[in-house]
Amino acid sequence: MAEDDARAYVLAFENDKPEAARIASQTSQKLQDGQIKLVEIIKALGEYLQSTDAKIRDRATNYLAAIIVNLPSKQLSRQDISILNSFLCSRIRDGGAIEGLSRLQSLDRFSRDNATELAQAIFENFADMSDKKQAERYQVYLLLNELLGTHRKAMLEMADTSLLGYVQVFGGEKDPRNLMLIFSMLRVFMIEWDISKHIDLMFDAVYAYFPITFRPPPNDPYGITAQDLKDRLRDCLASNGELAPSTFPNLLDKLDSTSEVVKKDVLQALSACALHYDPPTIAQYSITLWDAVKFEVLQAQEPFLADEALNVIKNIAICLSRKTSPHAVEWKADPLIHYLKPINKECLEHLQEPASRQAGASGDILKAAASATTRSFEIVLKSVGPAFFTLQQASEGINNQRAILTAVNKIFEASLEVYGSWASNSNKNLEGEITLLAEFKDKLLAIYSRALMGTVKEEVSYRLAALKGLLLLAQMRNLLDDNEIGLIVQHLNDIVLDEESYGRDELKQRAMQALAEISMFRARLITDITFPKFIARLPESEKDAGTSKSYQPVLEGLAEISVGQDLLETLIRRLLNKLDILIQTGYQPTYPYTCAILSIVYYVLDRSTKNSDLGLDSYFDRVVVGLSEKAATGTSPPLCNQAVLNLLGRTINLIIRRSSDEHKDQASGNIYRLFRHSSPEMLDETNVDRYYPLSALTLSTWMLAALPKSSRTAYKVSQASDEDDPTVEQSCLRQISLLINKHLSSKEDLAQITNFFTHTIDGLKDQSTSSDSDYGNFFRSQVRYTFILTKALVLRLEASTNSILTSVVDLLQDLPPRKARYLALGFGIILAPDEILSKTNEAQIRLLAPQRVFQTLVPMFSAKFRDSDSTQEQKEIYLIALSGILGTVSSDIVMPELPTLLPLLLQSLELSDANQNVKTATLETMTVVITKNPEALIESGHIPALVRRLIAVATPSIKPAKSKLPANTGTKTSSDVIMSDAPATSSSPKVRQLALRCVALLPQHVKDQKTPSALLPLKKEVLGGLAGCLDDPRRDVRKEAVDARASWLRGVDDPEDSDED
Amino acid sequence: MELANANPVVLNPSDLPTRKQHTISQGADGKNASIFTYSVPVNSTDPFFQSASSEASDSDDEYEAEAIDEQEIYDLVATMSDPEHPITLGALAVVSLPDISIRPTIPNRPESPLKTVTVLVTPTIQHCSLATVIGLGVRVRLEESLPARFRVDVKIKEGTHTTADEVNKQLADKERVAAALWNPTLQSFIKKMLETCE
Repeated sequence: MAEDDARAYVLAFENDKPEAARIASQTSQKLQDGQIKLVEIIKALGEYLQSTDAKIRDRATNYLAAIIVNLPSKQLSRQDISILNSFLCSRIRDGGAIEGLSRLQSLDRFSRDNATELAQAIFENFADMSDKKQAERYQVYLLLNELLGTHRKAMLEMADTSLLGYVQVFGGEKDPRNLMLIFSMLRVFMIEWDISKHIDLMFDAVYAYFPITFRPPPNDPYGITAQDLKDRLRDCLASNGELAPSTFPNLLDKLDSTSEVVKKDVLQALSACALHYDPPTIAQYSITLWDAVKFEVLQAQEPFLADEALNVIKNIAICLSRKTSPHAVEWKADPLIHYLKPINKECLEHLQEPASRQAGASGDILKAAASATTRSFEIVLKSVGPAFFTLQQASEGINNQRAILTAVNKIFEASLEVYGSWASNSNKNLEGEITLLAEFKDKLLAIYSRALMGTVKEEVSYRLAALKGLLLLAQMRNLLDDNEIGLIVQHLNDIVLDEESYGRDELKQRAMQALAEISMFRARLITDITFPKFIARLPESEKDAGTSKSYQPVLEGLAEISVGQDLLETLIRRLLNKLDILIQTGYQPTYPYTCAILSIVYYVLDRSTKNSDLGLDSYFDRVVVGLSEKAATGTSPPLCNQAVLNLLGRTINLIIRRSSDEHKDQASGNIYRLFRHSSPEMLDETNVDRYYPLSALTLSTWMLAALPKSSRTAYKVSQASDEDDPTVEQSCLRQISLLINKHLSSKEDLAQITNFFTHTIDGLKDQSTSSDSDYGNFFRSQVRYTFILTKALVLRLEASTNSILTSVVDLLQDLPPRKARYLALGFGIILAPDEILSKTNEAQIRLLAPQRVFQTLVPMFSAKFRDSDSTQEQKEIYLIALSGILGTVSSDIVMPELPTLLPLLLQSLELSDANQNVKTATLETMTVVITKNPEALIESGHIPALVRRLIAVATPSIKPAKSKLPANTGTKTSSDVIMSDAPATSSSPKVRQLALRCVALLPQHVKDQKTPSALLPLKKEVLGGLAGCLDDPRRDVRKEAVDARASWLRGVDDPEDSDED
Repeated sequence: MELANANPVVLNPSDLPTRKQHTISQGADGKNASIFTYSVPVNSTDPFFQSASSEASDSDDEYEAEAIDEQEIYDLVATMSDPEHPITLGALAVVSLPDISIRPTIPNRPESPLKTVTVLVTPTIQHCSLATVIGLGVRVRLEESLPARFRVDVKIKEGTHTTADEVNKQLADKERVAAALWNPTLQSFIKKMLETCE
């Protein structure tokens, strides 16, 4: 029976693997059921196992292995295992043996002796694997790794034999996957074996691969990176201090490499060794290492290398700070002191010239050494601390003084790292010691305060260094008391509030940031000292505020400082108090101060909700209810002002969105009543203006927008046609758009709206017959209504999207020119971001809506533009409509349509000057085209035409462009004639600036393989044209002209014949 | 190449002169101050309202003419880099604001549009061998960036260089300048200096 199976297996193995596997598992089953015995199987296999044909032997071994693999772990007795192990070991080179052995050694009954036997077999048979495939080698390594993992004791007992055996097998390996395994095994040997007799061997086994130059192939299925290998290799090198005599000289040798990558690997390896080797070893090499590594900081070429080198310096100090074993007695001095002494000395020498580069680097070195441990900090500070004061007194010149402060600041940073800050403890200071800087704190405070407050405002960087130092001191745990921190806070207050603005106001900004930082751990000081001082600077009324904007920086400051929750609430409360007074102001055309306060309230609330789920319910009663009600009474002139109402509306919107459902319901019931306690009979009134001034509709709109989609609010709005007040009309339109886009869901409702839409379009079509001069309010508001409907429906991608868009475009053609021109403006609305109809307010805005709109409209515009029946005026109208869309979609959507668009864009640049917005949109698109898709431009052949038009647009009007540029001579397209009689241009500054930017971008992006470049023939003409723009009355425009000229002068290569001027 | 001055003093970028930012004082509509952006009316993106109001705000460049001043000249040359360090001329204090002046070219006709820009260059060390190259670079930069009505005059600041007279003569001599610019080594130097211009 056993013979049959064996024969069947051997026969099936070649052609029918599944069948072979089935037979093997069947045999295992029989073995388990006791139907056959292991001995029988081996006997049955005997004939095959003895075969002289290697293939047959392979199959037989495979059979045996397959049976073992299938057996449950308890099936085999110790004896069985021993027999099988010996047998497979003797056949270890045959196929399948490794697999079987791998299974065997994982069994509980696999003894130490078995393991030793197996290891020996491997060492003997696989000492040289150069003829084997990667996968085969991998199998051997895996088996070795398993042996090392499960039978560590047996391996350790073999001592040198196992160590040498393993290393022998590893020899010459190059495959990254295999190396990953090898490195992890080598590390075990380094750590657990006694390698003292084999240092060189072990070192070579690892270091042979240093530095790793492996680069993974693209789409590497194994995902091993060079970094993985580097990490494991480094861990090996760092695993045993006995390697030090080999590691350090070799690594330091490689530090001279010219490759930055190699240097980085060396420095990282040194860092790891410094951290993991034992202190006595590191003590031997500490000075050598310092001498070698310091150049990487003092003469740093690359900042990242300097950082790695600093890390080495720091890690040595960490290592030497460890409590050392009695070995340390051999050293006369403490090894840490011995190591830090030359460092301190050399750094101090460099610092004698504080402003030099080496002095800056020395500061970094001291910081690295001091930030290792509390002990290292003490040693460094004791040695350099007093010297700093002497130096500070002796040095002259603000540059030197600044450099000294900067260096001391680095020591401060080290102190923070080692001893911890108020905000966080340091794990290097578990005993909670106070920084040694405490000894010097009075002196330091005096010097730094004087530097900050006693220096003229022009010395920005010096004062910045002082400010930074003071903040660091304030942050140090348990160093300064509240009075001292309070003093710093006062300095900061003075800088923000009292100092004149200078340059970029960096100091003021940093002072505000510092106050914000201090508020994190000493909020009370900010509330007590800063708040009253700041608030006192705020004017009492609009009248006091006058026209100066001095309150703006104060408000900004308050907003920046109030980051903590408590401070924020205090701030809002105080601002709302101010607001209560301000809304009693009498009538003024504008209320800039009130607006500023409201802006800050909104800004601070909005910021607080961005990174938390915090509710704003606490402000509901005071802001939403209270202020709406006041607005509704119409008694407060500021609350009738649109700017004020808009800001208030925005704030109310935010608060409602962040409030509980009860509050939302409450708001929903008060949309039009605005919380006014009106008499009941008035509540039924549909005519809202009986309740409150119509201007307050703005508030209703913002409130409506805040309500969730599910909310069932009765919209009471009708189309406010013929309305005189544009803001009222706009509020109505916005409410309509909200209703349609957000709340309508049933098919019937939507069908009805589509009907409305068709109706309106028909109404407008009728206008085509009336005279063009009849261009009244009714027409205009109908147009606006049309676009609001379009927007609301199209954004949610209603089924009728295409027909809606088509009918609006058709209208462009049907209407007389003036009316059509007005209509064309509306296309800018459809996709424009809208604060009311927005995602935040849960509007339905489908992701694909912009693309759909663009792809529907652009071909239509393009076709109509080319249509020979279109008049020039109509063409211009299509360009206006197009620019509305272009200005509101992302460039990704525009690019695919570029071939169709380019001719239209070029024409847009020639429109008359009344169309600055069209030109702006066009030029913005052009900028994107040039940067992202210059190929399309080159292919189109439109470059000369484009360049000439850009220059014509950019040339300022004062000096009428002397037509040096032969306008329109190059490429005369069919439509080129359009506007050729247009005057030289009087573009707006923004348009001129954009046009020049396009000109500047061309040489950077239009670089094709074709030589000479397509721009070369234009160079002279462009440089000449740009010369005119250098004298533009606006500075910003001149700047662009300068850049454009520089870009053409040097970006457009003309082979050989360079002309300067 | 051996560096003429391997370790120059470098000014901190915060200390370089800049045009005063008028964000806070300006902005009647608050458009420039970040926090106050919300005071912009909601309908500012609405083309129907824009078309009515844009005329007024857009074409105001005539009366807000900003003349070319010393700071502008400084900004043109300060971002050029030194031929031997990757540091700007401004940070090395090779050019500085007080050493730039703009005067009418014809002194008795100050209203004439013709102006002369004088830039005094301070080499990092007295015997700097690259003083001429720096002067030349500054000259090239200004000539290509200023309108034709400006005359450019670049000199070594008095007492800052051992052979200042020699260098000045060279910088003032039109033909020598033109000839120097044909030299490919000089060209590459100047190109490198101009690469960092902002």
